[in-house]
Amino acid sequence: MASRDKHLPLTETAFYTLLALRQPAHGYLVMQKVKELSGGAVSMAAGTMYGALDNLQRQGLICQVGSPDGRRKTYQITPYGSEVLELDVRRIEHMARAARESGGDHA
Amino acid sequence: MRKLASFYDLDKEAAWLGRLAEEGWAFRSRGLLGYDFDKADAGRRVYRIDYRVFRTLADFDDYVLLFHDAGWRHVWGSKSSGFQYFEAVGDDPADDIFSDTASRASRYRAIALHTLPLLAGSLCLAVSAAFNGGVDLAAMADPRSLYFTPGLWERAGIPFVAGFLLETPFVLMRSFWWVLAFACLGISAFSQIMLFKLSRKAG
Repeated sequence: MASRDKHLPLTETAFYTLLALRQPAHGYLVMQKVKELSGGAVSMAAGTMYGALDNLQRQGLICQVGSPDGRRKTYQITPYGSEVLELDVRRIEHMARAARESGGDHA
Repeated sequence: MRKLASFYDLDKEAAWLGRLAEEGWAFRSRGLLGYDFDKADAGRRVYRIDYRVFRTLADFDDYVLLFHDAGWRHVWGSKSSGFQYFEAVGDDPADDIFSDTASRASRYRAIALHTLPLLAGSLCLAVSAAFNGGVDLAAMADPRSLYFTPGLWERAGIPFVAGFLLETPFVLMRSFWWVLAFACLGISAFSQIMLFKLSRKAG
């Protein structure tokens, strides 16, 4: 891999947050979706969630969209965010495949 | 009730508010010098403190709503107060506002960044005092020479006391401002070090 995107690898929380924001959602909805998508393994608290949304927005991976609930900000993944997410999925798939192919013990 | 206290460690501060709640004092607000409490039923209350400054009121509003949705009552703080105090509410209260060490530690980095101008300002004052003759130790050895009122030291009784008291504030400002500059420098440098240590400990 010659030039890898500077946001890779995504942290577990960033990964699930981006995954959740393939549909527009406000902060608390993202918290619930992350928990659901991770099978309960990743549970983000309010302060951590707020900071994550702030960071992802600054990095251009998500953006604000018009919200049905006027006071709560609603976010959605950007085309660039989708690209980074897809690259990370491929990275993770590659890691899993490498582990399986390199010997039965770690399968 | 008002209580004077000061903390660098936000988790210790939150725990202290929790202990006071168990004694029947519910945290209401914070000022520059201390904390105000209301008499309340003694019981377990969970407090958590965040640090965040907002660009707009809408940003602040959205932030408070997210915490509200997640079961936290915003007890004290404003758009530009930096420190934001929350209390866990509801039947199944959350136990923390952070779920990873990175976000917990980022509070201290934000405080350090926002107080950096104090360090820079007091450093400028201290440097200018040291290099422009502000620190005149020879004059300190002869404090009488610091007073400019003609014939002050020949006076006696009320005229002396009146003249002395009148000029003393000016003497302090003229000749001892560098002490203040160095004190500010010391305090802000100490604060930066404490905040750096805390961000390392948490992160």
